[in-house]
Amino acid sequence: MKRYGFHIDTVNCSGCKTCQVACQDKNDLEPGLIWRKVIDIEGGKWHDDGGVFSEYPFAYHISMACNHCSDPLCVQSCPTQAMHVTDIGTVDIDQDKCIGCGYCTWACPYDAPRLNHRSGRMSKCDLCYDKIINNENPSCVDACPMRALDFGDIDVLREKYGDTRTIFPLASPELTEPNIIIRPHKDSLKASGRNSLIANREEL
Amino acid sequence: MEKFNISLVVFTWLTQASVGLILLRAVYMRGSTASDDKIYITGRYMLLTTFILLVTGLLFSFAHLNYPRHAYNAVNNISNSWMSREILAEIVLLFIVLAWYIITGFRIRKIPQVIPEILAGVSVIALIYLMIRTYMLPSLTELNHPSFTLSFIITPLLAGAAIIYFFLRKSEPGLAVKYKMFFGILFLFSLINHIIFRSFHNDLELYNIYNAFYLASLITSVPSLYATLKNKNVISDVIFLNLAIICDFLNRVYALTYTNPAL
Amino acid sequence: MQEKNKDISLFRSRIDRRNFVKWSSLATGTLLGPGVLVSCDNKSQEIIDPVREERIIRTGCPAHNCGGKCLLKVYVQNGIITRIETDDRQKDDISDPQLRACIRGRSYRKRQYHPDRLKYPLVRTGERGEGKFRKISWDTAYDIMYSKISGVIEKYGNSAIHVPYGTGSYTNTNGRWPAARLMNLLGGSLGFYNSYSWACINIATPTIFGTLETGNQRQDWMNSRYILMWGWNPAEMKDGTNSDYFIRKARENGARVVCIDPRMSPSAVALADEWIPVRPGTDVAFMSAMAWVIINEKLTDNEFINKCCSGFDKSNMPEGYENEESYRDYILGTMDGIPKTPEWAEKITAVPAATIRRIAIEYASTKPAILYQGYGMQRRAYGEQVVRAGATLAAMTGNIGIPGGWASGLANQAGGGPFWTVFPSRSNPVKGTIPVYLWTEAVLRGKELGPEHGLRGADKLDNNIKLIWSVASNILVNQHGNINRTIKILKDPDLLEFIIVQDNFMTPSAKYADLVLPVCTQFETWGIEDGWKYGEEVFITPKIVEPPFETKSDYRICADLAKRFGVYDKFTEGGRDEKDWVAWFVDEIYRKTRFPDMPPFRKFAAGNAGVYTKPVYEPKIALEEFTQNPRKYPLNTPSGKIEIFSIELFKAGQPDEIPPVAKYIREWDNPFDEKAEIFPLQAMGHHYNPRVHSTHDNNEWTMNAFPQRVFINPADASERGIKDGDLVKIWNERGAMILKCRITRRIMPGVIDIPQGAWYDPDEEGVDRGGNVNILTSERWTPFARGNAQHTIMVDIEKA
Repeated sequence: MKRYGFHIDTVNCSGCKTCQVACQDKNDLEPGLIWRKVIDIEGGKWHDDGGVFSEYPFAYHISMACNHCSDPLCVQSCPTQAMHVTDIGTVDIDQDKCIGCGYCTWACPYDAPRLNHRSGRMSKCDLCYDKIINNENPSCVDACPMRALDFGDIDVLREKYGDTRTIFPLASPELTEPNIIIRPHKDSLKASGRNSLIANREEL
Repeated sequence: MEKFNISLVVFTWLTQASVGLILLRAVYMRGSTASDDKIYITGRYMLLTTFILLVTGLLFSFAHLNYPRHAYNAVNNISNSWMSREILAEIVLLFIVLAWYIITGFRIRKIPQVIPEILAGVSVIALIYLMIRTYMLPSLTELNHPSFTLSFIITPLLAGAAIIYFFLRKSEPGLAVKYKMFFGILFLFSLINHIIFRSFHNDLELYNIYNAFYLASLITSVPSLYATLKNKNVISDVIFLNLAIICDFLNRVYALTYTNPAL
Repeated sequence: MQEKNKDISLFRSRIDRRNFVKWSSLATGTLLGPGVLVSCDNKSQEIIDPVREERIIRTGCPAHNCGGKCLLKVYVQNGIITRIETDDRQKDDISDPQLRACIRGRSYRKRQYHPDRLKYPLVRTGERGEGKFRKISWDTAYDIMYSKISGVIEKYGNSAIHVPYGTGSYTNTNGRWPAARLMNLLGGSLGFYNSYSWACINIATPTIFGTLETGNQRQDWMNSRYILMWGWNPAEMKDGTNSDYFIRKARENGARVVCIDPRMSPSAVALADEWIPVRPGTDVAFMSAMAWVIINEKLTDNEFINKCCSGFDKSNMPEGYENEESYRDYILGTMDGIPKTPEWAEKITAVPAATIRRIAIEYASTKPAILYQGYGMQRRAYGEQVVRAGATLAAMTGNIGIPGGWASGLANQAGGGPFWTVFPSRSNPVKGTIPVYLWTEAVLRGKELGPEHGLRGADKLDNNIKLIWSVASNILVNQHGNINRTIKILKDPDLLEFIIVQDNFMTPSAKYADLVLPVCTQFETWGIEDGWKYGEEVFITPKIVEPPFETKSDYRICADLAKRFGVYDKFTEGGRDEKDWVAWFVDEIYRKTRFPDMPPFRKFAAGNAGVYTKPVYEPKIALEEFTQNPRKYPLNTPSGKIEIFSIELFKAGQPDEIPPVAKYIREWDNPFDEKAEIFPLQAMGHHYNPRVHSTHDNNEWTMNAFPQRVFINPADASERGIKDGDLVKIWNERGAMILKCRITRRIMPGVIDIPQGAWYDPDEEGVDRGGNVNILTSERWTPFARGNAQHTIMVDIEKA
C-alpha cells in the first residue's frame, strides 16, 4: 500500500511553530491541544575560560506531528480498533469507537495522539486527509516560512531526501517504521542523552 | 494520557489484589485448621470479596476513560491488542468468580473445589501475564526492567496476604500470624524492588512522598514484628499493613509516571 | 500549558441587539470547521448577514509592524471568519516568493474573536490606571473629545497636544495617521521624529552615507559569499517577509553565514553555519578589534577607501581636519594609547581573541560580504557607535555598492522601497518636533526643551504636553522605558489633563486613559499596506466581516470627530470612506509611482488577488552610482564621501560621547563597574515569536506555543538555586517583576532575556507579574540621536 509521509528538514527549521498554529487553525483545536509540536533540543555546554567563552552549546528544532507509521504500534494496541489505517495509508482515529483510554499515548514513541478534552476522545494529526485526497498539501507543509517541511509519497520523499528516519532524541525507526525522512541538523550528530536534552517540555 | 490518571492505578491494583486473593484462597482452604463449615464460609466471603474487588476495579477503569459511552468496544481488538485481551480476560475472570460464588451457594459437595480453583488459577495467571504484556510496550522503554515485571507478582501476593490476614485476624489468629509474616516478607521485597526501580531511573532523591510512606511503614512494622514474634495480632498490625499497602500502591503510581509520552 | 489570568475583560454584557455574533460561544471555540455554524441564539440568527456560502478572500495580514507583510486566505461563513490560510500562489522562487504568514498571522482568529475586545466607548470612573470605566455613547464620546481638544488648544495652544508614536496598524485607515491628519487640520500638534525601533540607526546612517537607502534588494544576497548576521534575527522577528528564506537560499548558493548574538536565536540555529555569542553592548569592541586585524593583515580595500571614503587614515581625512583622530588612529591607538587588539576586545566582549581574528580575516577576505546590522544593538546606550562601526567595516573592505555586498546602516531598500504609510497626514503647522523617546520630558517640562534635547524645527516649545491622543499605540505605559516613572507622570492630572486611547483591547496604556475608544480590526474595514522595509508588493485589505458591537475604524472615528470641528470635507477629501481612500491609494499613489502596471483599484479588488507583486530579476544595489562615480554622484554628506570620520558629529563638540569616528564607549549600565556588584546581570528583551511588540500577548494559540518566561543560563540559575519553571524575581533600582523562568543554554552566562511586549500587570505592591521588561528599562536617551537605549539594563534575580 502506498504510504504518505513528511520530510522534516531540521537544518532549516527555525522553531517558529507556524506549522503548529496553522494546524490548530485548520482543525479548530482548543487552546492547549496541539497535533503538531516543535521540539527544542539543546546540547553541549559553555566553557568559561576566565570570562571568555571558548566552547558554546548547540541547538536544533524538530517539527513533528504524526508519522503515520507503516507498522503503527498505536493501531496494534488500540483496544477498540478506533486507531486504524485509512484507505489511503494514513493513520486515523475513528471517533465513534474511541473510548479515550489513552493507551495509544503509551504506544506512540512520538507523542502524536492527544486527548481532546472537549470530546473526551483521542485526536491527532490526520495528515489533512481532506486536503491530500484533493491533491493539496497538508496545511503545516504549506505554512512553513522556511519551507522546511515537505509531504508526499514516502518512496518519492526517500528518493529526494535520503532515508534518515531518526534524530536524537527520537526513537529507533525499527520500532514503528515511521514515514518520515529527516534532514539532520549538523549539531544533531553530536547530540546524545549525556550532553543534550529537550528544553521546551512545557510547550509540547 | 498526557497526565497519568490515578483511576488506572486503582484499577490495576485492585485487579491484582483479586488475583492474589484467589491464589492465596486456595492455600488457605488447605492450610486452615478451623472447622469445615468455617472454612467454607470464609472461602465464600473471599470469593465475594474477589468479585467486589474486580467489579470496583472495573468501575475505576471506566472512570479513567474519557469517553466511557463506547466502553464495550474495548474488546474489539483481541486479535492485535494486549490490552483488549487483558480486558477480555478480566471479564472472563469476573464471570468465573461470580459463577463460582453462586454455585458454592448451593453447597454441592460432590464437585471438587479443585476444578474451579484450577479454572480460576489459570485465568488469573493468564490475566497477570496479559497485564504485564499490556504494560511492556516496546515504546515504554522506561518500564522495561525486571523490577517492574516483578511488581506484578509482588503486588498480588502482598495484597492477597493482607486481605486474608484481615479475614483471619479475629477468627483464626494463629493462622493470621503466618499470613502477616508472609506479608511482611513481601513488603520488604516491595521496598527493595521499589528502590531498584527508582535507581534504574536515577531517581534516588531523599525527600519525597514515597520515601515518607515507606519510612512510616518501616516504623510501624517494628511493633508489628514484635507482636508477630509473640504470636499476637495487634492494632499496630493493621496500621502497618495499611501503610505498607499504600506504599505498594504508591510504588505503582510512581511507575506509571513513566507512561507519559515517550519524548 | 500556561495559565494566565488576564483580568482585563470588563464586560460580561449581554448581547446587543445589533450584534451579529455571540461572542462568548466564539471565545470558547465551538467552531468545528468550515462546515458547521456557530451556535447563535435565534434572535441574532435572524439578523445575520445572509451570506450562506463560504467565501475565500485574499488579503494582507493585519499589519501590526510585524516585520513582515504577508498574504492571508481568509475563509468566511455567515459573517464569521472560520479559517485562515496563506499564500498559495504556484510561483515560489527568489524573484517573487510566496508571502507566507508567520505564527502570528496564522493565529489571528484568536485575536479577532477574543472576548476581551473593546466594544463601546468608555469613560473613566476610578483613578487613572485603576481600569474602572463605564460605557458611554459615541455621541457623548465625540462631545468629550471635541470639548477637551478645543479646550486645550484654546488654553495652551496646539503644541500641548500629542498624538504619540504607535505602530499598532499600518493599514493606513487604521493607525495613528488619521488622527495626525485631523490634528493638522485643527492647527497641528506636537510632532516627533525617530522611532522606538530605529532611533540611532536612523540618525547615524546619514552621518556616514548621507542617505538611509543603503540596502540592496534582497535577491542580491544570492551573490554574496559571506554573511555576518550581527544581532540580526529575521527568523523570529521577520525583518521583511522571507528575509530568513532569502538567507537560506544564499547559504545554499554557497555563502558562509555567521551569526553574532548574545543568545542563540532561531536565526543562529536555522540560518547560520556558526554562532558566536557576544556580550550585549560590546559589539563595537568586537568590530574595532576586527578593524585592527584587517588593518594589520593588510586586507583593507585601499582603492575603495581612497576613492569613496573620508576619514579612514591621515591621508584620507577631510580638508581642514587632517590633524584630528582618524579611524586608523583610533584602532591602532596612536592617540589614545590603546591599540584595539583582539586581546583588548576579548576581555570586553567575552569572545576569544582567536575567534575575533578569524572572523575579521574571513569577512575581509571573502568578497563580496554582507555585514547586516540588526536593530537590537543600536537600541542601546551609545547606539550610534555600533551603526557607524559596522558601516566602517563595510567601507574598509570595499563591500559597498557592489553586488553581494552590503553597506550596513539602516538599509532602506535601494531604488525606493515600500512607502509604509500612504495616508496623507498633511503638514503640521506646529513646527517644533521632539525626539520620540522624550515625550515624557515634554509632559514634565516641555517648555524647557531646546536643541540640546534634540528639539528640531524650533528653538523652544510653547507648552508642555497637556493632552495625549493615543491611537494604535501601547507606548504610553507598556512600551516606553521605566514604567514606574511613566505611570507616576500619567497619574498626575496637573501634568496631563486628558488622555484618550483608541485601541482594540484594554491594554495597559488604555487603563490609564480618561476616554477609551473601541476600534475595529483590519479585517473589519478597508485598508492598504505595502512591504515591511523590503519587497515589491502592495496588499489591499478589504472589509471581510462587520465590525462588532460599536467598534469603528480609526479613520471613521477621526472623520466623525472632524464633523464636530467643521472640517469633515477637508478631512475626508469630499466625503471619502475607507474604501474610497484605498481606491485613491491604489490609483493615485501606487499606480503612479512604484507599480505602474498594477490594475486599477476596481479591477484589482474584484480579482480577489489580495496582493500585487512585481518580480525582481535584477536586484538594485544601494550606493552603486556613487561608488562607480563618486565625483559625479557625491553623497549627501559634508565631504560628499562615505564619512568614516563624520564632520557633522565632530561639530557636535562632545568627543567623549559623540566621537566623529566610531568608538567603543562603555555603556552607562554595564557589567564591569562597581554597580555591577549590586546588579550583576545584563538583561535583554528581544522581539519574541508569539507577539508583535505587545500585540498578540492575549492570543491563546501563540502564547501557549511560546509562554512569557525569563530565559536564564544554567550557570546563573544554579548559582541562585533556581530550577527550570521556578518563579523568579527580577529587579533593579527602577522596578521589579516576578515571572516564571526557563533555564536554557541558549543565552550567555551573565545575561538574561525577558522578551519584550508582555502586558504590564502589577500586583498590589507594584511588582509586575506580566513580565514586561520595561519595568526595568530606563528613560535615558542616547547622546546624539536621542534614541531609546532600552536594551541597556542591569538587574539581579532570585528565586521568588
